[in-house]
Amino acid sequence: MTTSDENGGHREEWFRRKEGGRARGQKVVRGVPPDLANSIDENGSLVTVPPADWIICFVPGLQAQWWHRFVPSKHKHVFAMRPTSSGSWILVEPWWTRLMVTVLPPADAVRYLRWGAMGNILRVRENVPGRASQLRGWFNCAVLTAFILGRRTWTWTPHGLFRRLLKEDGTRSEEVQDLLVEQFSRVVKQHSSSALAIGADQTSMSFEELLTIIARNMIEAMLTPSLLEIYYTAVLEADRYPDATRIFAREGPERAIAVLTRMFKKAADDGDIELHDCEAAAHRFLAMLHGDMRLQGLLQIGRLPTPSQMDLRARATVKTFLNGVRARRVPHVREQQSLSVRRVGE
Amino acid sequence: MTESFGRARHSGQPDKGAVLDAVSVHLDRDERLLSGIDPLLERCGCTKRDILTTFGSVDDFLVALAGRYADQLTDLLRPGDIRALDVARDVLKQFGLAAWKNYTTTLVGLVRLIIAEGARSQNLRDRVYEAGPTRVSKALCEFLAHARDSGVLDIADPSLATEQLMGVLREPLYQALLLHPMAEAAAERTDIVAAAIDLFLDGCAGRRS
Repeated sequence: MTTSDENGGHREEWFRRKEGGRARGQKVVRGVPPDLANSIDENGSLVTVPPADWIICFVPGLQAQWWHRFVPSKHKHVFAMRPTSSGSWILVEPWWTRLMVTVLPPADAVRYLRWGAMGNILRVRENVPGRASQLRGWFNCAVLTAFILGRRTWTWTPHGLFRRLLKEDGTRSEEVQDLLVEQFSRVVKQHSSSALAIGADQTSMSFEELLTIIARNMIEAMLTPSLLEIYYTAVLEADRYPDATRIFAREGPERAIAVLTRMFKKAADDGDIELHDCEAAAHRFLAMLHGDMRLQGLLQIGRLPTPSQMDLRARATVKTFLNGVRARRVPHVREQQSLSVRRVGE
Repeated sequence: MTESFGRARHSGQPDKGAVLDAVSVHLDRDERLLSGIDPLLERCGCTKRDILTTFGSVDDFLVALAGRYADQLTDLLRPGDIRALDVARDVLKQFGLAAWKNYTTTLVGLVRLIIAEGARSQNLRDRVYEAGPTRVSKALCEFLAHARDSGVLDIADPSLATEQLMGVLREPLYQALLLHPMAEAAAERTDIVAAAIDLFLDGCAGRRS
């Protein structure tokens, strides 16, 4: 989904802004500070934001209303949503009495998306600067949503707007599961990549030092509020949207296991440790590192550890794990999940 | 209606133990439990009214259920005198095996249930966590502290060590919650738990040397 807050978009936008400037022939109101005046773009805006995709949900009613008899059963209301790069969603929902604009955590956003799935969900790109007009009057949900999208339309009903948008080439129907997979994948991948990255200056470190740094990064990433919210949502929605749950597992824990497995293999090759099943050891290390945090995160209880507590946890886990791996034990475990260690000197 | 639950209902006196027994039989890692308690009650053949009559509230019922599993595990951590590392090893392997079995099956369902029902009440989540995981962790922490005081283990921070071990034993729970359930074969389970306990104990004992 194209949003201006993604890294690549940000970069492009930055350079475009430097190259651009005020459109010729614009008349600036007297008293506007020169630096602001210089920022005004060709649409009269202080910032130039590229067009974003909106998720437009045409939905049946939740509570009975007298006017429901006049509109199609599945399209009695319409609202707009947009995922952010942190896992939350922007919601713009016209009420009778106000326009609700808020940011929803993923679990709450899923409730709105499920409501959307009771009707139809469309992905529509907004028009910038748009062709809508404030002179429409009677700003009901359909009119306000068309206004958000910058569409010039005379329809007064959600169903009318639905048919109008469906005729456009760029409009796409969406499924909730696909939207969650897309968002979970992007956000979790981003966190995993930064947590599991090994810098050029770290390659000369000892295995134990490197493992401690990775362990600390993993704890920090796992306790990022946006990631905790996505984890909770992935578990909560496992029955309804299993693909979203699996993508969380693949981009989160499984990537961590893969990186740890590679580290352990290298350490074994270098003679730092002796391991027969590096993948099983990676599972065990990660589980020790997380301790109670995963369960507490799911149940939304407990306190976030301070940075020094995270550091202590990482060091203690690395110490216990490496002591255990290096201890004199006879390998006796058969199955795939097992961790085997050899007697020192054998 | 299940037989044991039928007895519990018709005996005149609410029998909490019999109800918990009946429910435990049907508690597995079914993803439908994420929608709340109704699918479980349906399978047990009982109604919310039965639960209210016996426990007073759905929340009290869930807390009792969590407490029941905690009892099963904490009972295994009363070893008496811990004289040697092998004694601690045997106790922890029995404990680990029971925990692993629960975290592979029934507790997956219970956690799903708590996530679903807990969405309406922070207090419920707190109470369940206190009655279940906290009690188990406390018992394990006391066990490890006792082993340290007896000179068997060299643990600087028993509560952190408890978290490490519980983290490993809860691995099947987390895998199941993310739809990658682990194998349940008894032989495999024994080996996996034995390896985990060995790694942990060797990790702790190793510091002293």
